[in-house]
Amino acid sequence: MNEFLENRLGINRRHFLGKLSVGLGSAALGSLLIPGLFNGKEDESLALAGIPDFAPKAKRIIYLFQNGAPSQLESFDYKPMLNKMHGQELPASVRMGQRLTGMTSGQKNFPLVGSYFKFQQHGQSGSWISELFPHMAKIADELCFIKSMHTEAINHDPALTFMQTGAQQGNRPSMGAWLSYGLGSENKNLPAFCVLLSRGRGNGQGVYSKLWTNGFLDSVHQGVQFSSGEEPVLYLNNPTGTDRESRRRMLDKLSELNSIGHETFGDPEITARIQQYEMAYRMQTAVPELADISKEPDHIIKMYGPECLVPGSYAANCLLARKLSESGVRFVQLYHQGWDQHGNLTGEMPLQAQDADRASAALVMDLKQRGLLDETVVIWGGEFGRTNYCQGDLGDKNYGRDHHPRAYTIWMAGGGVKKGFTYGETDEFGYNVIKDPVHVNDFHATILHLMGLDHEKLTFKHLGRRYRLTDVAGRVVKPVIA
Amino acid sequence: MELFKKTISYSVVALQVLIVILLVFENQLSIPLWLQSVGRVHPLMLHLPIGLLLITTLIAFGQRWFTESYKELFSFLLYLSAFTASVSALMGMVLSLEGGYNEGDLLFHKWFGIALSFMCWFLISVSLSPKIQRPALLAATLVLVVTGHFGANLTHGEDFIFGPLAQEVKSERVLTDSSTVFTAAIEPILEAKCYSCHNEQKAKGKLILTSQAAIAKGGKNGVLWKGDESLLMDRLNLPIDHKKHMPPKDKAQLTDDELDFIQTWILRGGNFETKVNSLPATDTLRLLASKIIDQYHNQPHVKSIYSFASAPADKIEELNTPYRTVFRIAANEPALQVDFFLREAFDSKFIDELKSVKDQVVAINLSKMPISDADLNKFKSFTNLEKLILNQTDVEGKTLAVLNALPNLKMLSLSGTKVKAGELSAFEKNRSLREVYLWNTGVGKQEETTLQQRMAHIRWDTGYHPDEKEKMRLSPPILRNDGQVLKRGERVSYKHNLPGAVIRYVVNGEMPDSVSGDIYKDEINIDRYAIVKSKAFKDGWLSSNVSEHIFFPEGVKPDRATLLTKPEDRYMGEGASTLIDNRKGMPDFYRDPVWMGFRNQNLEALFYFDKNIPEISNVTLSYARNIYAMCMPPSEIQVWGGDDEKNLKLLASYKPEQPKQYVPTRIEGADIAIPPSKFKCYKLVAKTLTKLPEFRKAPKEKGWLMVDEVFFN
Repeated sequence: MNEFLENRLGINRRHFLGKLSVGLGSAALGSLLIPGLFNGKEDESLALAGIPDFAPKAKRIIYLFQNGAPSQLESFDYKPMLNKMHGQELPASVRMGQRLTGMTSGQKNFPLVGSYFKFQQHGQSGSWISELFPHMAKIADELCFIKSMHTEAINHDPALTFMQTGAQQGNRPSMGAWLSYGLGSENKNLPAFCVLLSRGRGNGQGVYSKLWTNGFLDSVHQGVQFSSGEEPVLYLNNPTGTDRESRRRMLDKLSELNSIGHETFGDPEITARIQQYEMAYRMQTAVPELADISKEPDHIIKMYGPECLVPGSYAANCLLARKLSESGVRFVQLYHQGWDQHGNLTGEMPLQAQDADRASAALVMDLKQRGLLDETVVIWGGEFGRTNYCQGDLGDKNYGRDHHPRAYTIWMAGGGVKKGFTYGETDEFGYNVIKDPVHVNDFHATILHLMGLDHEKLTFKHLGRRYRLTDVAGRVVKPVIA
Repeated sequence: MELFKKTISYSVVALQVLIVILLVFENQLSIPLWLQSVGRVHPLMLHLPIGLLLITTLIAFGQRWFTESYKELFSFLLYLSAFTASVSALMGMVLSLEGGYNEGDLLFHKWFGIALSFMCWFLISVSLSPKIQRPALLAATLVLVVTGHFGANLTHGEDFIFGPLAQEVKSERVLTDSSTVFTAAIEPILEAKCYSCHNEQKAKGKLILTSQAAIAKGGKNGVLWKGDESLLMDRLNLPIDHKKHMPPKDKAQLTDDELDFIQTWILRGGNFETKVNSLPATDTLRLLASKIIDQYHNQPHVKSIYSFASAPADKIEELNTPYRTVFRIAANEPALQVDFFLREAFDSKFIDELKSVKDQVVAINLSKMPISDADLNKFKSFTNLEKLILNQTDVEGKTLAVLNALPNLKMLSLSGTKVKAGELSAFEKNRSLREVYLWNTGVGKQEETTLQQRMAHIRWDTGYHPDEKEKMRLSPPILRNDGQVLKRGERVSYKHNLPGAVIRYVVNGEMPDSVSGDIYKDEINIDRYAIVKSKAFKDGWLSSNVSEHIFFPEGVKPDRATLLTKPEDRYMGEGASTLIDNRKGMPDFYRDPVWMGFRNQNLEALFYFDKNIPEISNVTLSYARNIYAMCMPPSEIQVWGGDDEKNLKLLASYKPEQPKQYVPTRIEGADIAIPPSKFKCYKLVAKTLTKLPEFRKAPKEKGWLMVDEVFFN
């Protein structure tokens, strides 16, 4: 070392090393205060204990997804102006350059179409509901309509994926998976997230298991699909020749072996697996009871409609959804296909409505009469809206409507949601939202809020960043919360 | 003296390193209790470097007065200053980890403190000429003063020194039942958007808005409102570019909600005393105010609802079993909910075990559990219970009166139990209950009305009552078999999920009605291709639509098959074996390789029995009928038989009936009876339809023949 500098600094090599050792010593001392220093990094989100952040308004959700996008203009968003201007061209000032799908982009005219079906106000709340939905009309004072939903996607798959996972591309956890992750299971004998599918009589669109995926979350949060056959959950029954007793003995032995494995390797997946086997064993008792509707009284069948006796029908799924929810399943997701009325709307929509109307209303009433409606949110709606202009030829009695992402209507009922309330508004053409828009992210933030979760806090770290159901957006729509 | 210097300088290095460590790992530290006490000595310790450093600096500037012993004394003091500064800084760091200090001040105090300790270390470890040393010392003193100032702010508050001079000390906003509209909603807006210019110190336009008296007084332009005239509203409503618009253009503006609200409040007289809760819930002012209150008061921190003590976490954990879930309703609430599952596993001691958390439980759900009237006694001590769900339990209602002992019970659900109206009189004097659910009990619609009249403070809900006059169409019978192909010995099995429904059926015949057809009792034996029509009946219901199912008995599988004609390119299936693989497709999805499609050529195929030659009496071709997609029945079918492909004779031919109108898409069969025979080789010819029927309105198109299987019986 330069001697002048040495002199200036008042140290030489020996001093320097001497001081360095003191420094090292105190560094070691200091490190004692940092408990996790050498343990590698821990993600605080793992600490989630399955408890809501604040007192929830609701504990469970039943999402009646109307797949294919039911027309808001023939259901809940009453627009007499369209009837007045029936057949006239959609003004450019209303369309404002909104993109078109490949199905109508070649169309030369965009004639406005008024609803073929009559509207009437119902209940004390005076909600407008079309004649296609007479049973929902009877419970109008239980429903909260959001008429200002809007989304970013214009085609089914991305829109559906967006609505279910908060992203258009897929591979993100579904709403149900997020809730299972955030709140855990209420009933340890059943999965926290169950999925039920049905097909209507209208033009349908597919649903895929990516919609109920756990994404990057642990696989226990994946939606479990209940099928309509004799075995609602596949591979749950004991193999032929195995009785419950020997199954129990087998599981006990298996669990002993797995415990040895766990002691040797310390892999937490092993304990998870033991628990899953135990849950499946208990599900063997819990599930058949759910699938059995023979104990339901006659008037329950009349309430949901006789179709509920046919496994796999929408009505049967609504009834099953009530039973699952009643048994503590956090999130029951229904998909009802057949709402994609590009053409023959007046032919198909009454059939679709007939299948969905009675059972959806029955589910709300059924939860209510069991004292469960105030802790269960029921959501009804599709992935986007339908255009106010006609797709294809505008006939005397028939027409079609294309996809419309700028405005659509959904309703919610139950836990913590205002009753007999309408939020948001579209213009008189039913085309643009003019008041209180609700984006899909806002919708998700609101749902999580109802369940006692802060959408900004429910995160999971994946590929180096934290993800949320609402990603980087979303605000809670407070006015719809009671 | 050297030893002293050496010890000090080593210690200072050690302390500096510790400070750096604390700084870097601040967020991951956990401070043991004994160290917290050390940290708390900081407020005591810090006075030492203050005094020492000040003296040192003074001495440095007054060097002339200490000629003899100056150097020694100076070093002594400087080293001591450095040491005490480092110790103070370290202690301060520890103390700061406990939290609870004003973040902003703490940040400044911390960094200035650390800077000071580093400067002191620098002063003792580098020998400087007095020309540099003195300003350096002065700088250190300056830093010391700043550090001390922020430190004092932390402990004594910002306004400590000048506090007594300030007129009003503002209290934190707390919302209570008696909050006025002014304090709950007007003040927060003023504070956020007006106080910065209109306070006692600044008072622009001589207007002060920080107190009610000052607001009432107004500014140099006069009072803010009088009757319908309002200077305040005028200024707020001026265009934003106007010179007199308030708040000024570059400041935070009022929202529309805020403007609406202030205007309404002023038009109502601008009363400072109106209480929020004294206004009716639907009052405009109240509605407007609640928006503002939401905005300013309901910030992320959600207040907890329950104030009782929480139960220990391990005790809660202990109570959780697969059959009983006990969980906190939220992270910030002590309240617990308890759910029970699986009737078979239930034991009434599961309720007794909840004794340890009886003060925390607010909701219990016992749906479907085998509990009876006697068990209700067990809930008496759950004084905070608000919600009790007893749906579908064995409770009959004889002991409902014991629930009156629960002062907080608001909701009781007895749906699906045997409770009768008489027993509900037990709640006549109950003042806490708000809702009772009685669907599917002995309580009918009329009794509900009586209960509602007698006990109006409770909402009685007997749920859905079907319209007795409405006759609904029963759902059709459900087929239990898996598919259309019946395995050897497999019988056709139907069921109906409505208890008491009767199924009538007809095999290969016309639709059954309520007197015709066979009543379904046992499984049906089908040994030939058959169409089974069935219908369900029950009193009080309309009979179901007809349910129609087509069955293909599996028969005997030929050993091999070959094709004599070529299917269309897109529908090749998997070659000739497709016809005898026992796999059937969906009626409308032909890309599936279980299907084979013919259009320009007829289907001609050979089937061989090489080993055991069975007796065959009929052959069935399975094809898709889908008129929309032009998939039609074959126009003619022939079956040939012989010892090999060269010696075949025609055994039978048959022209299936063509549809005369649109009919539903389905898979059906063309079934041909042949004289019972034992041939090694059979040939099947199925001719495509060359001209579609008139109603299909496609005169130039040929029909498709979509086939998936051939059965030999």
